[in-house]
Amino acid sequence: MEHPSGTTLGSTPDHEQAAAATIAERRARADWLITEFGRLAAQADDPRDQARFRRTADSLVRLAIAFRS
Amino acid sequence: MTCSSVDELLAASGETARVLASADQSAWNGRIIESTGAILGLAHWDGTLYLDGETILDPLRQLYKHAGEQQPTATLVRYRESLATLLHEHAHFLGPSGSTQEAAREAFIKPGSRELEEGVTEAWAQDHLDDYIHRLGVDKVAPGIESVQAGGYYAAFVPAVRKLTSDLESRNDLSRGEVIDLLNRQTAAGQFPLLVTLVYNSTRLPALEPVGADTRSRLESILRAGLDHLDAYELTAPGFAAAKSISTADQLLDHLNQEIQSAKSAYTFSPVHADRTLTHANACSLPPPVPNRRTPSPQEAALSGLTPPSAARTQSASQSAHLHPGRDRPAAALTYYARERCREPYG
Repeated sequence: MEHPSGTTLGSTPDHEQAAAATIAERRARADWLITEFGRLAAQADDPRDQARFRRTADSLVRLAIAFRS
Repeated sequence: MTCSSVDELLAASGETARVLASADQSAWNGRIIESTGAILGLAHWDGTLYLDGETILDPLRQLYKHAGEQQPTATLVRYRESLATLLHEHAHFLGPSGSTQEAAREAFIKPGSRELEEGVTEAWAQDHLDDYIHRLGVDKVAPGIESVQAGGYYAAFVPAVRKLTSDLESRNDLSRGEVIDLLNRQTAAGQFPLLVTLVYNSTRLPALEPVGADTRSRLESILRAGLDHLDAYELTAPGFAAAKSISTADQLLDHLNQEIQSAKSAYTFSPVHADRTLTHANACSLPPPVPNRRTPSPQEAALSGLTPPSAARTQSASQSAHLHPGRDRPAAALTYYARERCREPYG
């Protein structure tokens, strides 16, 4: 299938595919960790632990937004 | 300055953080959204600051509602935690003139960038929280707030960043905390270039290597791989995470030193490396001439191409070019990890 730019889809160089796969993996990991830290924060009895898990999740949310922008 | 309400405090919070950091600009657009979900504090890429109502903003409202009153330690700690989060988030918005959130966002998704920025931002906020509180006049509104302690966060990142930046300060004859201050004034787009420059310019390599040598990119790969590795400890207990953070930084520094020694050996004659030196000489004809120029100060050598710090220094460049001798600890694990990661394109 030819893309409007003239390139053929599926002919992406290997390193570009590897880069895309790496980004996809990192993005999926960030999403998973956000869920995991949210779960841990909800289960934590100690407010300090809750804050620690939420602060870490905030950082990952910032990363996830960056991936999606 | 003494703010008389939480609204005044929030309005002044961004500019006060920028001035405290000596940063050129803040990307904060002046908007604060009170969040009610999972987020405690978030510096959004669009310039908006998100703060949790119950955990961050309510304590600040209480602070002004009870202005001047003596409060129990637990209450003062809550105030302090709220202000620490406020300063941390504002630090994310800081950058040099001309920097953009778009470039910062693109850089932030590269391996190691999040770990570096969070470590720098948190370490800097911890180190400057008392000054921030004083500049905003909160110490007058909440007597005793400077005498209580609130523990920091990001135990997987902060110790490694402190270790790494402390080492760079020693290499470059910079004062304690100066590298964290410099990194904090950069967005994610500028932090790794600055880090690599500080490593590279602390060696003799700028005078030894030809223009275009790829040592800088190898150093960046090592730094990125080491810092990226830290997120493996985010889910662990703070004590364990901090210990692993330090040991990872030690391995990272070992790996950097190995790379620097390896690069230097290609340009330095030694019987041990005679074959390699000759091979290099054959391939490149002659090593590049050392430029005939005024001997740069350590600050100039470390920060060439960057805005120089204000303090003038007069020591010779050779004094700044000291390298920490290779340590005995094997760095095989991280070396392997870095090599694997170095194969990955970071674009």
